[in-house]
Amino acid sequence: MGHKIISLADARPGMRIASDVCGPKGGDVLLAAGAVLSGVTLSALARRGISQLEVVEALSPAELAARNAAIDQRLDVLFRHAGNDLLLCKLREVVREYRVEKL
Amino acid sequence: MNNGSPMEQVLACVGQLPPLSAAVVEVLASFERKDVDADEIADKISLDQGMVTRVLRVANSAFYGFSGKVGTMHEAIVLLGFHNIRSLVVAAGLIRQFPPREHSQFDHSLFWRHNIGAGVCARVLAGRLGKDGELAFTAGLLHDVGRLAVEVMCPEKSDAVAAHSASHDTTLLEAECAILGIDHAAIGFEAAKRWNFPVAIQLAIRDHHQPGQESGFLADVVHVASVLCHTLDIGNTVNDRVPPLSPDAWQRLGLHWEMIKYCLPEIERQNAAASLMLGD
Repeated sequence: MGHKIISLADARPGMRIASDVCGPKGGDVLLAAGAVLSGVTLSALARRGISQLEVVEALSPAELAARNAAIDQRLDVLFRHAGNDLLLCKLREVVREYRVEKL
Repeated sequence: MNNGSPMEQVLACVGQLPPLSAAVVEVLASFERKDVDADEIADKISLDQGMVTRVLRVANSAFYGFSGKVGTMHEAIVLLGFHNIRSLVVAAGLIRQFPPREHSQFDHSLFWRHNIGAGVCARVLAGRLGKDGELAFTAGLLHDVGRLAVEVMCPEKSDAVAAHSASHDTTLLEAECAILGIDHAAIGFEAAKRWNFPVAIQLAIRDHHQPGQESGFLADVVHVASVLCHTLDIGNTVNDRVPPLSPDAWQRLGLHWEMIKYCLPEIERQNAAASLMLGD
């Protein structure tokens, strides 16, 4: 599973919210992460001026592999001078694990 | 500018840094005082509407849970507490006072994203370690103030450092030593003394790349926070890299990997709120 940000116009009933939806100026949580969108909630979000949402998306194996590769590619750049430094190698491993879990 | 060595020239320029706004000076001083009149400071902050707007944007974020109910500085202090508000005031004050320069190679937005991110990392780590999170946030926020001082006072040298770092794939620190003969940690220390930052924050700024036993908790936590911030790709340029992590600082703080794993989502959550400080 992955997350993606979509415009409200592209949101459909049945989609699951990946992160809390707050009012346009911050503040109140209008819809909590994990909630499933319905026609009623979509209308309510539109009335509150929400323009985009982060939703859970089901990734195909190919998409998942591409996301994993992108994570590794960025970490390769960030840690390109880490060499065999034990702390940095472990830090990279921990952050990679965290990024992959969020997919 | 005088005709001394590059290092003497930079230090002479930094010695001419303008004073910080009265509100920021008072808020910074309050970290070392017990007899603080929060209402009086709120009045001073309220004179700068641009600063107030930035502070309230964060104060009204979901992170603090007051959902758009914070309308004034006085309300912010009552609802969030003066202790929690002052780090936001320092951030807003500095962002306001030193706006971006046109055609600069210094990426103002990334600079603040990294420093706010490091502040958040420091606050989360300090909280887990049972220490003062807001002081740690402020120290993290200010840790690279030497870079800002060079950008403000010696813009041509700031551009030369950025160009050198990009063309030679060096760390910023290495580029600064090559071009300026001194790095941003030492320059920041001079700026911090000039601006009368609390002593613990001065030391955190001076030693954030290589904290020693005598540097203190804040230097250690800001060091780790800055490395974490780079690792999480907060405020990085495309060519940035993760700097070395001091095993001594790690050990002195008593950190362990399970704690870091626990902190990562919290850092990203808090950083989303704190970043509302940026933007017009």
